Amino acid sequence: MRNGLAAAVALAGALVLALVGAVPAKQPGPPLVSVYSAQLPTGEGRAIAERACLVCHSAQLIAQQAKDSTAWEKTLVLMAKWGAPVDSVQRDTLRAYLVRTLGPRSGR
Amino acid sequence: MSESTPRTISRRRVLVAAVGAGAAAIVSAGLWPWLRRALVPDLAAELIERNAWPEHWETTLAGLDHGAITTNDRFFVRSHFPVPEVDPASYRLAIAGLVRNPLSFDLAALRAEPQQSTTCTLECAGNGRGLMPLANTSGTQWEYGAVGTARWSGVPLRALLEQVGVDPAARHVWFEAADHATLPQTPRFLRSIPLEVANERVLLALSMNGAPLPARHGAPLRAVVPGWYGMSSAKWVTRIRLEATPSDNHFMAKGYRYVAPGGDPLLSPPVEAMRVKSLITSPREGDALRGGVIEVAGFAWSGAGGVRRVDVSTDEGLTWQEARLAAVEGPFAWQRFTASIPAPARGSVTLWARATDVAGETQPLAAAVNSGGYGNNSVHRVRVVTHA
Repeated sequence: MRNGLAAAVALAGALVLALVGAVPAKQPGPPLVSVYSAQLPTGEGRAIAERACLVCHSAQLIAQQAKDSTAWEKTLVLMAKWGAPVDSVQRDTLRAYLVRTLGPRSGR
Repeated sequence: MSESTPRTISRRRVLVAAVGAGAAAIVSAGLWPWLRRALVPDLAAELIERNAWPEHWETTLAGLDHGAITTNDRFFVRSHFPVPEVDPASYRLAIAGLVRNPLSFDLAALRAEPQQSTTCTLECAGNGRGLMPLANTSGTQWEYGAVGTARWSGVPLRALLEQVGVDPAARHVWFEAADHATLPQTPRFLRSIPLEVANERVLLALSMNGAPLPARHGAPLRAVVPGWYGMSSAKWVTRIRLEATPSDNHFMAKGYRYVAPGGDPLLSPPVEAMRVKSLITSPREGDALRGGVIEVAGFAWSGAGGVRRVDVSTDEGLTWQEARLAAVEGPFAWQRFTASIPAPARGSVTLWARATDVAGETQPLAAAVNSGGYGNNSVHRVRVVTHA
């Protein structure tokens, strides 16, 4: 299992390098507007978010949210039910990270 | 998933870890915007990327302003899962369930059926969600442009239902599709509509604005449910089932419902027909214009089957001036409105547009808040500056 995982990570890394190599050969695309950061905020929990959430959706979907602890917990429970690879301890770290970096909207 | 063996589960975990690691590596290295532009050469510039994967693209107001038809490369995109690869050669549309004669159609058979066209507006149910005053958000924070109008061509669903012979017990039509999440535990996206709506106006579209349906818009075949919010117009449809009840899929029973804050989704009304709405596509927020008269233009639509009037105000709704409406392309297609509005030679003007539909419903100044942020049809406000 561990060997398989290492091989898969190596494969993913090779894929990234292959894509990086391929990109400069293409013509630059249209100037599309991107309004959210493609990167998650820094802090403890970011690595868990990258591993558990980006399997299904981009960081942008996370970065455009604003939720309190109860609302983030509801999201995380649903995502875990839908297969997000995160255990209960990681989920607590993840929720704290999300509340700290992407808390509720105020003044609205 | 009870039939899965431990071996397949560990393979799946390895795959998930690999996909996650690959995605994280791309994001961490800051390569995403660069890679993205290289991968989407068939999209126009006038799009806002709301989510890179699965794809969520919003059209800018400038992108909508080009005309009554939204071109395919500018049309908003909302997908729940990655765009599936559907092989046209092996594609089949099956119609089954409560029918006398289940049938399966390949693409040649579908193209051989009498074709019809309809021009209609599709609006994402979450359009305007990002503008709704909710402390806790959910989903994509769309602003104005998760809406567009296309001319769709294909086979009326009723024609196929007549061939299979619908059982009298059938009341609902379920659309099953080829798309699915990366993780197998995630439910499929499945929507159903009442049989009477299916018979009355649903088109199984094979083309969009005269071109084969693009992959991200549901190739090779999507449902088009005129007048209803976009989630009912299922993409990549592979199977249609006639059933006695609505689907109990997550995206029917819990998603897409008008839930009051703290309310129970299961007891809340479903999101169905598009609420009456208008958008000012010209001028746009912050524009500097010559004073005297401002030429205002935009679009208005309603799932009720047409718009009766559009009014424009420059005094926060104290007085309204009726706009001109262009010819109707169809009851469920938006209508262009234009108005020549007196404006001070120098100063700041906030334009409001408000549509009233054929059922007599008028846009609210602020739509009632619901926790999913659906159906935001609040009056559109655009502030411009005038000069001599």
